[in-house]
Amino acid sequence: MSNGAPTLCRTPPRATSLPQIPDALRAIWRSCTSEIGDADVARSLAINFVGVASAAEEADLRQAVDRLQRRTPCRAFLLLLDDTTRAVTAEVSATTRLSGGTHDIVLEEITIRIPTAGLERMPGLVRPMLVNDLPDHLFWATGWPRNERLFDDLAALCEHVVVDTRRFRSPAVEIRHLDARRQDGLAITDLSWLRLRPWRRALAEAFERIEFAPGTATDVQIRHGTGALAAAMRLGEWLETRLGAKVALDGAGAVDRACPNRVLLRCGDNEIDLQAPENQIAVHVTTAAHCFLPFKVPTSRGTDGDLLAAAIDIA
Amino acid sequence: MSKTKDAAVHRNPLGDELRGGRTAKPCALVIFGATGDLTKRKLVPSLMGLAKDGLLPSGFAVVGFARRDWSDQMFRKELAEGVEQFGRSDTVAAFEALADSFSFHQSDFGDADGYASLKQKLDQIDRQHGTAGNRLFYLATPPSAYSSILGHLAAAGLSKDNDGKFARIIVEKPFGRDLDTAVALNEQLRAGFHERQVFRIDHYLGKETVQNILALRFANGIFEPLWNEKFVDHVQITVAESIGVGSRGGYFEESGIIRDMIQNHLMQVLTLVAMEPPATLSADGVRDEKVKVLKAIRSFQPADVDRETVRAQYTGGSFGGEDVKGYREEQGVPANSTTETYAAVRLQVENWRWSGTPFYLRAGKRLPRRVTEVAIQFKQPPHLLFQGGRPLQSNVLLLRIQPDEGVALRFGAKVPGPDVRIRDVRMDFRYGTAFGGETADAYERLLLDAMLGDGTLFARRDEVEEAWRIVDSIVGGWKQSRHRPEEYVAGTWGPERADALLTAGRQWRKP
Repeated sequence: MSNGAPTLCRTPPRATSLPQIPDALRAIWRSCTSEIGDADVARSLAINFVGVASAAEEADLRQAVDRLQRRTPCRAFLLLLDDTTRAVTAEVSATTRLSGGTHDIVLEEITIRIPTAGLERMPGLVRPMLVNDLPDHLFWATGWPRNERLFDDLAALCEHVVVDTRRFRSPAVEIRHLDARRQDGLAITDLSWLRLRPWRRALAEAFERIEFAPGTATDVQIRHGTGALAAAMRLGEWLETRLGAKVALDGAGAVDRACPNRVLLRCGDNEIDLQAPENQIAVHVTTAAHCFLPFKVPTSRGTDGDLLAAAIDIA
Repeated sequence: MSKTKDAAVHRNPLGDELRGGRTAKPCALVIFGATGDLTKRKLVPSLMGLAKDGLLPSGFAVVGFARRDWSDQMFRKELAEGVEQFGRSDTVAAFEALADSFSFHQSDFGDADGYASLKQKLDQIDRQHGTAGNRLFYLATPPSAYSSILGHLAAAGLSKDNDGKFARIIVEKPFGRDLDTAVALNEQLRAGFHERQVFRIDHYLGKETVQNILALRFANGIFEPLWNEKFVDHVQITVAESIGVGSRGGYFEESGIIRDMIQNHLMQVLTLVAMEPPATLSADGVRDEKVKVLKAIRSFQPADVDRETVRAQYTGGSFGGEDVKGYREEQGVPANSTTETYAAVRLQVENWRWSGTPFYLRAGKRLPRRVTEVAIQFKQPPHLLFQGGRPLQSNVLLLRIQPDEGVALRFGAKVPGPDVRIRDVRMDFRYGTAFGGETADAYERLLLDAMLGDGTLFARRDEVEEAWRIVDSIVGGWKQSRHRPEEYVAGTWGPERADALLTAGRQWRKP
């Protein structure tokens, strides 16, 4: 398989009204074929994607979708919440990838800017435009809504919901609201949890080096910054469940991190200390008999878009 | 402590994080012949791909074992260049982070002391890098060194699984040059290693698209009912290379395309296409079924070989706008060489599924394009309703292994208009489009599987020997034949006589 970067072309965004979006999509198809001339054009979509973000988060959402389409071609509805205006605007564009002499349409992007209250009209707008027989994914890429029905109505469109609890304003409360929906059967993937994968793995590797008897009193301190409260909570819950650990969160860590700065775990005579000063987690394991040389696990180098693609892959 | 309590104490309460993904146990990888191209171009860049994806175990180290007098620093510098040049994006950082885990061990392959000191070194690495006494040996040397290395590994006590610690060995092809030498190599391996410890690597099996053959067949309900002699007219498996032998003339002269390609890559692909559904996807579950396919292919009688096979050599010509040499003019090739650069074979898999359905295998150098594909050619409908009863092209299911990896289906569709005219159209799935451009190298998958002890994508002893049995019978027939190899002009699809292999109106594809 080719390891080279694919050649991508994006058509200029074309403004349209909401009722005209299906026609605008068809026009994009025609414009792709006419611009490309004699080359074959094929559409190769694997999912329908609905992304919700505030207008201020637009760049992040677009970047995530750009990463997503490289692995998972999609029809993407980007719903951008903008309370500075009452106007609703829409535009469509397409991205094609040149592959072996053929242009494949790998992203059909429908961007709709709406005031938050207008979100309630979106399920009715989006539903008829979902491509048949493809799985539908919602990416709630913003804070937890005050009006939860907005979330629920869009979630009901889709088989799978991705959230990023890092963006929640009050994770301690809002994660509970989210988890209640999970218990009700909604398939939810939290990017905060996926970001913790290197930490979970490092802890699991560390436990390969120690003898752990169930019931051993275990204390855990997780140091994190403001941006990693949700991740610290997720990690803490996991360790409470798995080890019966007492977990203390310490919010004095570096603010800009999406993951904890340090996890210190003591169980019996064993101590596991994970620290992540740079792009690695250095793991120090000490038992009564041994002090192991530290080992290192790389922290995730992926972008939020890579995590989103992973979330959709494993759904 | 009782056994039950022991088990409870040692259970890793977070262990599913390691099992959930495909995460291997800590181990040290020893590469014999580590100064060669394979290590620099493939093995270490692939290891760094695994590191980038978080798939290397935390306790991991690499020891390069070779004759040259290199230091650890020189070894690392060479590897760093390799990762930069041949690695996936972002793997340089992974190498920088892990560079301390790479060391060099200078020794002659035949020097017993070199293995004693290797053992000491590995013990030290266990303590420093937490590799837990697990060893993975990689024979990246010419086959002539295998015997010595295998003997010394066994004598140094490095080849045994002990106390839950594994010792495994990866062997690069060629696995012998005929059945006798393959059996001899397998016996040498068996003297030191159990078959479950041996991983014979054929990088074709690590390709996603080759693995996709099983997924396509057994994960979909629509193909398997048609996958038999009732519906399939014949199967063509092609491995075409556009390059000539170049500076490898000396090596190629000893092997020829049948040993270099058909005995391993094409036979492996054939078994995946023709095998029965395995009861499980376990290593032996899959390999048992693959071996049955090979066993169902009869050896050729010498008198049949000229009829059932074609061999040929390329002659000079114009290729890509440049004049190129013929095979017998290449460096290291004798002017009277009879080594084939092209071979085509008609095989019959004599079982219930495939009886009467020929499998055509062809491989060649200096063909018009570099392409590997499997074409399942379906039978015509029983009654020709359209085009005045004239036959249309038959349906083809095309599995493209490289390049433009994917699956395509050719079928007839009505041309719009008042007439009833049917034209072939193609429905196309491309891996690169559906799953993104950057995919792991085959070696990544295979190295990880070897660390995990999963032999599914490695050739088992009996597979190798069965494939040699078939190929030996062809080579034996060629030796007895009165005919020299055919000739084909560089840049063409092979000799004309290859067309005669395909009977009943069949034609070679021009992929």
